[in-house]
Amino acid sequence: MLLFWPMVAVVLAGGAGAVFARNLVYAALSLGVCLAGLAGLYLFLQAEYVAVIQMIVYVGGILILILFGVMFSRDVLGRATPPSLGARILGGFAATAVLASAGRLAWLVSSLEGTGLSTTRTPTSTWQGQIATDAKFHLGRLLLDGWLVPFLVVAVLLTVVLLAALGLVRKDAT
Amino acid sequence: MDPISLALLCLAAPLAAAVVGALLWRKSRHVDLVSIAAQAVGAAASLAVALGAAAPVARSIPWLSFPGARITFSLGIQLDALSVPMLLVVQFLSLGVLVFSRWYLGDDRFYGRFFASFSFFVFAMSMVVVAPGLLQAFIGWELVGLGSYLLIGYWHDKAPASEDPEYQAGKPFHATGVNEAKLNPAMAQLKAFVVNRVGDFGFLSGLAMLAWLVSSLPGFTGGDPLAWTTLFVAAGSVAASKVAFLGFTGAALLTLAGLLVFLGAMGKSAQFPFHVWLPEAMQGPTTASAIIHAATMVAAGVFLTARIYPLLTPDALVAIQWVGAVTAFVAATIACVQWDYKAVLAYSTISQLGYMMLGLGAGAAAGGYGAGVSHLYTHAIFKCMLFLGAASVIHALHGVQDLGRMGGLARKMPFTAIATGIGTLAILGVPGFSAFWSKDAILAAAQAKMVLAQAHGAGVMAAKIPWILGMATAALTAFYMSRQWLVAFVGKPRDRHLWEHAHDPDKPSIAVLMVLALFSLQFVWTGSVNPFASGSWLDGVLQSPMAVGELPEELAHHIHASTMGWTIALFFLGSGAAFWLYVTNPLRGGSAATWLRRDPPTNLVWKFLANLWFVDKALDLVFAEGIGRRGGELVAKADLGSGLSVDGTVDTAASLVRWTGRFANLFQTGRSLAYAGWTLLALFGALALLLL
Amino acid sequence: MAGPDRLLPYLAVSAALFALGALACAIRRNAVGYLMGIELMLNAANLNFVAYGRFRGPEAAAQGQVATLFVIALAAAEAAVALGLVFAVFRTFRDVDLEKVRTLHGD
Repeated sequence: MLLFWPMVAVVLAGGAGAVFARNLVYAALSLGVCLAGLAGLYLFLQAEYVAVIQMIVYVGGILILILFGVMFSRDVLGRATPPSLGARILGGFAATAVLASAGRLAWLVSSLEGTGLSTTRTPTSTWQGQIATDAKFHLGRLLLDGWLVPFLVVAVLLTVVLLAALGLVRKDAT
Repeated sequence: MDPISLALLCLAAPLAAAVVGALLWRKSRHVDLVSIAAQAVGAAASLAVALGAAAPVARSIPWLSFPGARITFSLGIQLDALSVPMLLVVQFLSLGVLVFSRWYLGDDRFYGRFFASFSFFVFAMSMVVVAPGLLQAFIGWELVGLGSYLLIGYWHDKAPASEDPEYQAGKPFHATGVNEAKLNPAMAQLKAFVVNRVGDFGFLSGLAMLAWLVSSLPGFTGGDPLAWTTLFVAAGSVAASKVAFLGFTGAALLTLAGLLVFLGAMGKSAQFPFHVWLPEAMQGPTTASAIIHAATMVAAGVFLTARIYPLLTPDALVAIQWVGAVTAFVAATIACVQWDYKAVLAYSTISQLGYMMLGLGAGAAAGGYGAGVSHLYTHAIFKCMLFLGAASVIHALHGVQDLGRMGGLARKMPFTAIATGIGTLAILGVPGFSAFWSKDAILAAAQAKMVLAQAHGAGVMAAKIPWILGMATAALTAFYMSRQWLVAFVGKPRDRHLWEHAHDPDKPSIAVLMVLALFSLQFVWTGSVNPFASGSWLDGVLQSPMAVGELPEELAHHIHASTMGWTIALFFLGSGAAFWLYVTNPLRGGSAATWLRRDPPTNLVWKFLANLWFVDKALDLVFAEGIGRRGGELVAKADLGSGLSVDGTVDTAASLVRWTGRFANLFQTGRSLAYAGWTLLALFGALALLLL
Repeated sequence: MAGPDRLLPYLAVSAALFALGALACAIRRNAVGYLMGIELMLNAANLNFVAYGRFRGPEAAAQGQVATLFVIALAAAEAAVALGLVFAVFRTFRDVDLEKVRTLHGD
C-alpha cells in the first residue's frame, strides 16, 4: 500500500512530461517512465501477465519505435515551436471535458455502491488469492476458446501491418 | 428439373448475360458469346418446359404487403397454355436473332452493348410472359420499355437525318412525311419511350382500379388482388356488386378498367394513334427491330390483351376490335407509299398488330381469342424473318434502304430472296403458309362476330365495319408486301454498282433464316399438309380461357370456307396489282410515285398517305411543340405564390447545394491538427453532453 | 502486492491519463508527439479495462486482461504504421511539423 501512491505519481508525472516537455527526446523517455509505472499499477491489480506484456511490448517495443521516430525527425527541428492559441484552448477544453466526464462517471459509479450492481467496495482480500491463480487460468482459456478468432485475426493483422509498414518506407524505384 | 425452376432459368440466364455484358462490353467483344450461350440455355429450358408441362402450374412469393387492406402483392411464375408457347417463341427467336446479329453488327463500334441490352430485353419480356399477376406484368412491361429504349437508341450519337449527308444524298426525290430534324436514334428512343409512357399511364390506372375493385368486393379474403386467378374470379362478381367509382358501377366499371389496361397494350402494340413511335424505331439496328418490333415487345400488348381476356366485357371487346381494325387499315394504306424497305415492314407490323386486336376483339364466341393468339405466334416468326431478311439486304447494300435503288437482288442473294419470299407469301395469307391459317382465322372470327350480331339483332354495324376494314387491309397487304419483294428482288437492278457487291449473309445467319422460313409454312402449325383442312394440333393452346358456346358446326364451316375464298381473291387482287405496276408494266422507266403525284385525285391521296395521314405531324404539333415546349416554358415561370416560381425554386435548391458544398469546403484546410482538433471537439463534446 | 481495495483511485488515474493524452493530441505540433498522446490515451483505456475486471471477480478479471492484451497488440500495429507514415511524410516534406504539412486541402 505504501508503494501505490508514489507509483501513481510516477505515472502521472511521466504522462505530463510526455505532453509538456519541449525536447522531444525527454518527452519520449518520460513516456517510457509512464508506461513502466503503469506496468507497476497492473501488478497492484494482480495482472502480472499484462504487466510483463506491457513492459515487453510497450516499453521495449513501441517506445523504441517512438524514440527512433523522434531521433529521425529531430535534426530538422531545433526547438519545437509552441502550439497555437487555438490548440491550447482546444486542449484545455478537451482535458476539462474528460476530467469532468470522468468525475461524473465516478460519481455515478459510487452512487451504485451498496446495491447489487456495484462491487467497487468489495475488499480486495475477498478475491486476492483467487484472482492470483484463477485469473491466469481463465485468461489462457479465454484466449484460446472464446476469443480465438480475434486472436488469429490479430495475428494476421500484425503480418499485414508489417508488410504495410515496409511498403510505406520503401523507396520508390524511379 | 421442375418447370418452375426451368422457367426461372429462362429469366436468370439472360439477366446474368445482361449484367456481364453491361460491365464488360467495353473490354471484350466476346460478350456476344456470353449472350448467345445464355440464350441457348434459356431456349433449351423453355423447350423443356414446353415438352414437359402437362397441366398449368404457378408459384408465387409474397412481395409487397399492405396489411390494412389485407393486400399482399406477389411475384412469381405462371406456366399455362398462353405463357408457355409465348415463352418458347421469345426465347428461340431471341437465340436466332442473336446469332444473326453477330454477323450483322460485325465490327460496329458499340458491338458489345447491343448484346447486353438485348439480353436485358429478353429477361424483361420473359418476366411479362410468365407473370402470375397484373403487377408483375407491369413491372416487366416497364423494363421492356427500357430495353427497347436502349436498343432503339443504340447509335445514340448519330446526327439527325437533316444533317446527315449520306441520307440527304440517298433519299428519293419524293421523300416526305417525317420530320428529318428529329429523325435520329436519340429522338426515336425518346419518342418510343414517351408514347409508351402514355399507354403505361392507362395501364397503371387500370391496374390500380382493378386492385381496388377486387379488394373491395365482399368475396375478397386477402392476398394478391391482381393475380390472374383472383382477378378473373372477381370479375364475374363485379357486375352484381355495389362498388362505384366516379359514377361508374358494375359492368361499366369493369369495362373502364379493362380499357385502361388496354391503353397500355395500345402503346406497346402501336395501335392507332399510338403507332407513331414504331416507324421511327427503325433508327435502331435492324436485328433489334427483328426482335422487338416484330416478334416480342409489340406482341406484349397483344399478349396482355389475351391474358386479361376474361376481364374484357363485350363493350370493351367492341372497342378493341375497332381500334385494331382502324390501325390495320391506316397502317396498310401508309405502307403502300413507303420508299424505305424498313418503313414498309414497320407499317406492316403495325397493320398486323391491328389484325391481332381485330381478332381478339371479335370475342370468344366467334373464335376471336384463338385467332388473335395464333396470329401472334405466326406473325412473330415470319415478321422476325422478314426483318432479318431486311438486315441482310441492307448489309449487302452497305446501308442503303431505298427501294428505288434495289432490284434483281434474287440473283445475288438467293437465300435471302427465298426466305423473304416465303415470309411475304406467309403474310399475304397464301394457302400453304402459316398466316393463311392464322389470318384467315381472324377474318373468319370477324365474320362470325358479324353473323352473331345479326342473330342477336344488335351491334351489326359495329361488327360489320371492322370486317370490311379487315378485308380491305388484306388486299392492301397483298399489294404492298408484293410490291416490296418484287421491287427489291425481281427485275433489273436499278443501281448497278450496289447490285454488284450484294451477297448473302454468312452461314449461321442463313441457317437462322431457313429455320424461320420452315416455321412459316402452314403444316408446322396445323399438323397437316392440306392447307384447307381445319383445326390444328395447337387447338388446346388456342382455347379461350372462358368456356363459351361454340358456333354451330355448319355455320362455322360456311364462314371458314367463305373467308378462304375472300382471302384468295384478295391475294390475287393485291399481288396482281403490284405485279402489274412493278414488273410487267414498269411505267417506262419512271417510278410509280412520279405517276401518282402528277394528277389529282391520286396526288392528293398520295400526299395524304405519304404524310402518314398527318398523324405524326399533328401529334408533334400539339404535344411536342405545343404542350411540351410552351407548357414547359409556362410551368417554369409559373407563380407558386409569394414570388416563388418553379424555376426559382429549382435554382434556389441548386444554389443551396452549392453553398453547402462551399461551407463544407472551409473545413478542408489540409491541416491535420485542425482535423484532429475538430475530431476531439466533437468526441469530447458529445461525451460531456452525455454524461453531464 | 495489495493495492487500494477500491476501484475509484484507478479510475481517477486513468481519467487523468486520458485527459493528458487528449491534451497532447491538441497541443503537440510534431507528429511523433501526437502519437505519444494517442499512446497515453490507449494506456488509460487499458488501465480501465484491467481495473474494472479486477473488481468483479476472477472471470471478469481475465476478460479485462484479454481486452488489454488485444489493445496492446493493436497499439503496436498502429504505432508501426504511424511511424511508417511519419517516415514517408518526412521523406516528402523534410519536416514532420503537422502545421506545415498541409498540401492535401480542398478547392
